[in-house]
Amino acid sequence: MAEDERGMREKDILKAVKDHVNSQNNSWTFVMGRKVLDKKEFIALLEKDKKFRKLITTMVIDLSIDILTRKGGKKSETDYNTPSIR
Amino acid sequence: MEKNLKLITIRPLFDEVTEITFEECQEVVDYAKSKGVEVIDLAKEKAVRSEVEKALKENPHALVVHYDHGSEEAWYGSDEKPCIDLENVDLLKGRECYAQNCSSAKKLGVKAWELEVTYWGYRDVYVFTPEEEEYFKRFNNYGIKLHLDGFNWKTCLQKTKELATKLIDELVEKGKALAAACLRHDSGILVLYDKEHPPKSDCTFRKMAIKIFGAKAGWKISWKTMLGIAMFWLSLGIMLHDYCHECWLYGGYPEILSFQGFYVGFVLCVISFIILFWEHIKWLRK
Repeated sequence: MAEDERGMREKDILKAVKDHVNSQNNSWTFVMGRKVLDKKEFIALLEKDKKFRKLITTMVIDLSIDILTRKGGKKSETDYNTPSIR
Repeated sequence: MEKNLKLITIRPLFDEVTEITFEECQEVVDYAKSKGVEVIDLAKEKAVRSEVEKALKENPHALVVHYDHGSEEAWYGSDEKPCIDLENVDLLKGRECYAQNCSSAKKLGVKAWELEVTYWGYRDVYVFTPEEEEYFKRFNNYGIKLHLDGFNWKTCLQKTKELATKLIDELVEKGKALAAACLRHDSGILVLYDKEHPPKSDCTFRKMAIKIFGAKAGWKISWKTMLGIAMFWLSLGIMLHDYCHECWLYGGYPEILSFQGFYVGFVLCVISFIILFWEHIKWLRK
């Protein structure tokens, strides 16, 4: 994939993330280590911080790959509500 | 569950994020107590270095749990200063540690693993969305709760990652894709270091050292030692080349190939280096 095209794809991902965040409640926040970002701060950081942009795009891509590569889609029968499952 | 298991929980409270994780850890404290486990709860103002060190010294075999802020080299206390770092990591020797904090598996966890600690932690920054806190709480507490139920750490990790997959699906179905991406990220950076699962490195040289000398010595060997070894062999090469060149000037190839005292010294030097270095590696493996 050409560099320009890859850049375009990243832009598409970031646009989708921004739209997603904008559609959340006004009380929505995002925690990254010690930083607590509200919607505005999240989008502002996404626009100015290259490292943060990379983290978010990587997270989105990893999730997509994870969902796409899951085997068979067979649901687990484990009851995760109770740790005492012996 | 092990008999006489003791749990030391370190849960500072000093900002918006610790307010959330403080409560998350409360669930662990309650669960442990319900299982008959003795809990030494270092909460709020007790979650500081002096109190942590005191509790660790008094309870040398207790399982240690820390909730929230961490860095590559430290766990933080309520005074926002490290309560465990590379200076006092020796206090964790031989224990089991459940480090529910950012990045500490990267350096502190590796150092702890060298001290035969079973270390559960994250090798990067932990991210989450407080709106879906219940999902993250279940993920964060599941491993320790399973362990208190008697599962070994390997199974706890496997089941926790399975739970993460299930929670991710639920979040995606609810339209909370970014929260799902956060959980996917956190599950990906969650690691367990123990005897069977040594830490992995991103550094090419460290990877080489681990492959050649094994995980224990490979992680302990310092860059200065490696530089010293490289310089030793380079200097030997230069000396051998120069000596051979002098021989060639003096009598050509027959002179190079003839028996020389230098070669004996050279071979002895190489053998003694190998012996000394092997002893060093054996010491590192201890």
